[in-house]
This record gives sequence, structure tokens and C-alpha cells, in this order.
Amino acid sequence: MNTSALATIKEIADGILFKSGITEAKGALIDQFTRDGYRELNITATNDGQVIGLFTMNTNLIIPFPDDLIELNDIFVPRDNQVWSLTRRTLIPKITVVENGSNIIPEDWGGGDDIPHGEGTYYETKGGRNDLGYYDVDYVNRRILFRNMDRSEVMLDYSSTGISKTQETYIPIAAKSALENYVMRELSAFDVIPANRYSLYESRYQKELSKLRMMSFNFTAFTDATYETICTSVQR
Amino acid sequence: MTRKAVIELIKQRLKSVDTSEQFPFQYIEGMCDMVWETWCSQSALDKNQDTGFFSKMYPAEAVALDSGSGYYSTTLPEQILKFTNVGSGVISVNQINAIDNDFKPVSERDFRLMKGQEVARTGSDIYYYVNYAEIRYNESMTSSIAALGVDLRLSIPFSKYLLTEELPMPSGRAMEFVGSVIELIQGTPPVNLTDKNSDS
Repeated sequence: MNTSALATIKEIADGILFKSGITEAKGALIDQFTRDGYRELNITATNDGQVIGLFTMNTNLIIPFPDDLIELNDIFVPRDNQVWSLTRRTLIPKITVVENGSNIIPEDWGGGDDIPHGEGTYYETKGGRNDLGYYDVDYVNRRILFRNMDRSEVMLDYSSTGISKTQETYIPIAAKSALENYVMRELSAFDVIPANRYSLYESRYQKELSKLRMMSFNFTAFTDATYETICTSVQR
Repeated sequence: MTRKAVIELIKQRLKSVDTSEQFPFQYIEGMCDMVWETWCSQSALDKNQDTGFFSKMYPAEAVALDSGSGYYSTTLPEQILKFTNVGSGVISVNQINAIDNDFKPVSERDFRLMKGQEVARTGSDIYYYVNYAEIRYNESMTSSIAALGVDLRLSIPFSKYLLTEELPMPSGRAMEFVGSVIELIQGTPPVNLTDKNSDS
């Protein structure tokens, strides 16, 4: 992989140590702040933490959240060589109980059977009929529940922390300035460097964040997404 | 200059006031230890100072796993000077034949507090703390790195250098060092005039 537009967390953290002249004894703290900053950027400014992957539900039609999932964006199944987005149904019971040592959906709560959504083609005041399946998200128990599925494997699109526990994490070079100012701001907030520099680094961080957001917005992608949804007929 | 040369030079300079040879080799060495310790601690605080000065390299020191704690550690090969900054007299730790910033010193307190933090669970940097007898590494230390050992750069007392070893002092400062030692000694009256201030 060509990583010339990417930097590792270590490169950025060591770069901060190098430029600031802060003692190496604060190296571990700067390493942690760099991770905190990148996670914050992923949540608020960039989509580098976006993950798209295949996951398989268990016999209870449930997929537990991946460990690094912060926010679920969408769920897809294949249709006509493209992806098809499933519809969320908040009426799916978020209930499982332990019976005979196994986790099951109680029969009096549907037992995992298909939920009704009408038959035939007709006009409804309520939208979102989806022949390929429905889901709901149980954030408390960190899991996704499905109904009316004809397959067990789906594609999840979610936002993650962006920081891998098992592999090297790469950060776009474009985010470097914002990260550096974030770290310096936090060092000031925690009194590692004089607290009166907080405002300076906060304003520099916000400026870099604005630049990053501007770079993240692609007008062509925006217009393409608009054209994708425009139909010439009221019937979809 | 070697350690022996420095001490001999000081003895020569003291002859004019020490006509009965009341300042033996060990006594002068002890005074050199004090001045050396002061210079080393000042050097350790100066981040612009080249770390090659006032320190000594110990290559390929062993890294062993403590089965009780589960941590890897290195027993210090020599007594180190005890500075107040984090890392103390351990100036740097590196992998064999590599110079990188992948070993970072932390205080013992931070070592304990970091255990649950992301920085200790992700990334490859190895954090260590020094307890004057050993260097203890965090969970990032791997068996493959440990098997090779590590290169240490330590700040050690003056008296721990070999007699014939060149002292890692910047050029042009030897006379300043000698002058500081003499200044320290000259104010000290000999305690045992009958036995030429012998240590025994």
C-alpha cells in the first residue's frame, strides 16, 4: 500500500516531541493525546474511521456490535449486483432471554418470526416497506436485531474509533496539523505546558478543523449523490 | 582524558599544598565523583546536550521475563546516577543496532496508570520505568525483541569508569573539571595527619 499520504500515530506523536522540545518523559502522554485527537477527528470531521464489512447474524437474527463501532450508518444486502439498504423498524422487540443455557427470543414476543408488512404492490401512507429485511439497533446491549431476512450475512457500514488494536493505524497527512494543535491544547489543559497557551492552541485547532472539513467536502460527490436519488416519477 | 589521568593530574596540582601526600587516590576519586555527579545531572536536564557526553553505552544487555509479574525487565549492568527526571540515570534504551524512539521512559506512577489506557494497548512503542536496579518494560515488549537484548546508555559515577577508559567529557572542559575538584578539596583539612589521611 502506498502510504505517502499517510502517517502513523507514532510519526505524528514523535513529530510533536521533536518540534516542541518537550521532554521525552511526556512521550507516553503525547502518544495518548494523539490517539484521543484522532478519535475525535474521526467522530467530528473526517470519515477515516468508516468501516464497511461483512457480518453474519446468529440463530437469533442478531449481530453484536463490532468492538470499535461508535455509530451505525447503514446496513446493506446484495440486490441486482448492487447494494440495497435495509429499513429500520423500531417495532422489532429488543428482547432475548436465557432458557436452558441458551439465549433465545421468547415465543410470546414473536420468536424471531417475520414481522408483517403487507402483501402486493400498493400505495401506503407509511413508507419503508422492504422485501429484503428490517433491522433495529439496541444501543444499550450493543447489538443489531433483524427480521424478514432471507440471508444471514449482511454488510455493515459504521463509524469506528479509527484506531486499530491489532494493526498499524494510519492517519491522513491532511489531519496532521489539526492533531498537533489538539495535542498541544490538551497538554496545556492538563498543565504539562503553561495553561495560558490553551486559547492559542484551541483557536489554531479550530482553524485546522475548518480546513479539514472543507477538504472533506467534495462537491462532485454531493451532486452525484443528489442525482442518485432524483426520480422522474412519483412512484419509486 | 582517562579516569586515571584526571586523578593523577589533580594529585600533581595538589602537590604544592599536599607536601606530605595527605590526599590519597581514593579521596581524590571521591571528590571527582561529586563533581562528576553535578555535571551529569546538569547535562541530563539540558535537552540540547548531546547524549553521548557524560554517559556510557552498554550494548546487548539481556531482557528477561519475570514470570511472577509477567513483565520483561533488564537488570542494570552498573550503578547509575540517580537524577530526578523520569528515566533517572538511564539516558536511552534502543533495540540492538537500531536508533529509534521506540523506547520511552515514564514514571512508575504513570506506568501503573497507563495500564488501562489505549496507549498501552495499541501501538508498538515500549514504555519503561527505572527503579535503580532494573528497567521494567510494559506489555509492548515482545519476546522477539527481548531475545536480542537492548542497547543501554547510562549515566554512571566517575569511579565506575575503568581507570584506562576515556571519560565522555566534551573537549576543552577537562581543566574546568580539574579546577572544580581542586576547589572542593583545598577547603578540606586533612583529618589524619599522622597517617597521611589514609582510608584504612
